[in-house]
Amino acid sequence: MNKLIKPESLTSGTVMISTAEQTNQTYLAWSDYLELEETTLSKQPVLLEPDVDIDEIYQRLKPLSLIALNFPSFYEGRPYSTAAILRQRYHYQADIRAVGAVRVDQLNQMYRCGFSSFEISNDQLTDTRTAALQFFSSCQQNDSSDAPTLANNNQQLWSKAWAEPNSMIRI
Amino acid sequence: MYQYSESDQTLIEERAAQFKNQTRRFLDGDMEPEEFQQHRLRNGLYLQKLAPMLRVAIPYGMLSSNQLRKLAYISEKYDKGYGHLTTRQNMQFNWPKLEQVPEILEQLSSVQMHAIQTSGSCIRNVTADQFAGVAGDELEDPRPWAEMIRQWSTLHPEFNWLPRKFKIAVSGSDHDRAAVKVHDIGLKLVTKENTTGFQVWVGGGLGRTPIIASEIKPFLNKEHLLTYLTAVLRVYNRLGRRDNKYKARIKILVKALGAETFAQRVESEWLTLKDGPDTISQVDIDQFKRCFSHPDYLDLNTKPIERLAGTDTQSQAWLDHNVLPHKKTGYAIVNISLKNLGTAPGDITAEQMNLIAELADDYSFGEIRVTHEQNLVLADVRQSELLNLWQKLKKADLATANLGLISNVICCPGGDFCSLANARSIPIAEAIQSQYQQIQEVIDIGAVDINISGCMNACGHHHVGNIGVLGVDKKGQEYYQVSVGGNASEQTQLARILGPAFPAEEIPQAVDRLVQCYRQYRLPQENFIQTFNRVGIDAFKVAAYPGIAA
Repeated sequence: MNKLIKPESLTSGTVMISTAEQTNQTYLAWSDYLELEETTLSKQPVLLEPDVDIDEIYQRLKPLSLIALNFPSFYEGRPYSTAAILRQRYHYQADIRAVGAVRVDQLNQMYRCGFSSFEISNDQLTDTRTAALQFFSSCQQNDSSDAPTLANNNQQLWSKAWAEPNSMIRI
Repeated sequence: MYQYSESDQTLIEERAAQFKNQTRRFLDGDMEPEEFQQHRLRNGLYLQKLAPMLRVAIPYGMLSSNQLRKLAYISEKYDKGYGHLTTRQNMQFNWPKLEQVPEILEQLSSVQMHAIQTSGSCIRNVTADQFAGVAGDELEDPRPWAEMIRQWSTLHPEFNWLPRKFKIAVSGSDHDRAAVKVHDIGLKLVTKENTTGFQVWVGGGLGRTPIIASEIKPFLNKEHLLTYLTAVLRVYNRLGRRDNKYKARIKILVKALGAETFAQRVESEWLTLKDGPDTISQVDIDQFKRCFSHPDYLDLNTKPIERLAGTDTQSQAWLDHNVLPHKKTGYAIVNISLKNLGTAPGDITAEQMNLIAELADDYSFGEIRVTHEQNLVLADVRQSELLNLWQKLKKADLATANLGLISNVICCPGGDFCSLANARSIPIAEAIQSQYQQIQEVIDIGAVDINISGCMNACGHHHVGNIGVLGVDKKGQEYYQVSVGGNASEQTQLARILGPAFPAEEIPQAVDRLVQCYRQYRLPQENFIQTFNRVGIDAFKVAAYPGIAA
């Protein structure tokens, strides 16, 4: 059984696993999606595989309220770029969901690339594992997690890394 | 030298805490070994033949004396009292216990050090010229840029799961001491219309498929450095092969698409990012440059020293080979060779680390650099102190005068430590070095780079050695393939294989036959690689296999 985690549970610093909802959402493969009638499009969540060329298909995805990106393995790296492009280049504002081999230790990276919900298996959500979510209070890059529709307080984090010399710590 | 800001410090402490949690979960059976492997590699931890190996980052080679003391302390408390310097400005510990690694990381973070991204399919430790800021031929100090890249690439959310490892090097001089053309991205500072910017090289690398990088951008304005790097990494992350790890490096992608097509893809990606939030402001550039301002040099007007008063040929050889001119009058760059016979190349004991830290405090503003040739540098020594310094180094067996000479062998840990190796490399290095212990002969032979790798992963950079030695496995026996003609400098060349591999015991003689071949053919003032380029490989083939007609 899978559960769904939403971004507010990430940004709060405390993961509210108890409020995560059970989900048995099904998704359409991109090839099936292409065969649907235009009118039904926006109601059908679609699951994109890592090799998708998002630039090529974005116009078809635009009306969707949910785009799911599949992680066939936990070390798959392409969906991070796909999500970042959806947010940064196309200003896609609806839900981007991580599906598949989603691991607690990577939620932070996914979130920062613009993912806004995560379908994750129940066995990932033990207390010792979810503790891994709470480690980072800041980061050193701009990212896609400050897209307008997401509930978070992240501002331009890039400037945070460029500290004033007089605030530097001498060792 | 750069000092961490509070956010830098917080980040490495948080990563250390996270890794502690990950290690705990793995040991408790709460994390799959396959998953833990990826997290530990991204924290520089390998599980090797005899014990785990922890690779600590020394970004662009800069160390403070306190950091070196901490490395000494770690090597004594958690290891066997020594560390190993790698060809990419890292220090490896070969004997820590897995359970103690989180504690070592805490120790490291107390002196602004870490092991983040020293392994795994992510952006690795950024490297640069070890003479940055002091070299006479420098156009601009590469370190402010390398530090920006370090910060930008540290735990980058989009590029932590690349098809394969990714190495970036920055050079600010005409003479390339950072080997930029054998990196995934090589950045060379160049001038155009009175401003400096970057020449961008992509797709170089050694390993199983050695390739020299292609230039994809002749001039990139500096403020665009990070947006451009993002574009390159994004194209690679999306298109690099993931079906075969031997074909997964960016060099294979660049080759498959062709450098021009690859450059165009990067360019169109970049145009969507250019002038975006990662554009570097002049204020930020100035601030980073201030972090690498000169130490408080004295105004001296000493002429370059040609002799150390009242000393012998040993000190003269050291002065001639290990001491290099400094851009500030009255100062010199001192190289400390870690290529002493009887010690594995690049190995350094805790005692030596503590001594060098003290010498750095006394003679070189408390800073040390580590080099991709696995040596150390005291970069800012007053000429008038050279004799004192030499005497102290000599007493500690650290005054071997062989920089740039044949006994300065570059060598990976090999089969003695590494589980990837096909053959041992340290005993081969020692056997070769032992032939060249007469200083007059070594000086007569002149500049020869010998590079030894224990397997085709090429950590000893054998493809760019003037003489390269590669360990191979022949039906369970250790054999060594010899190649000639590699060059790691700005005239980057890949070495060519001579012929059939040699068994270990024949390697020293085979190498020496190549050296004697060079001596036979050389013209006055010509070094090994120049003779090779003029004469061609055939003469060396004949020399290497004397029993076989050419």
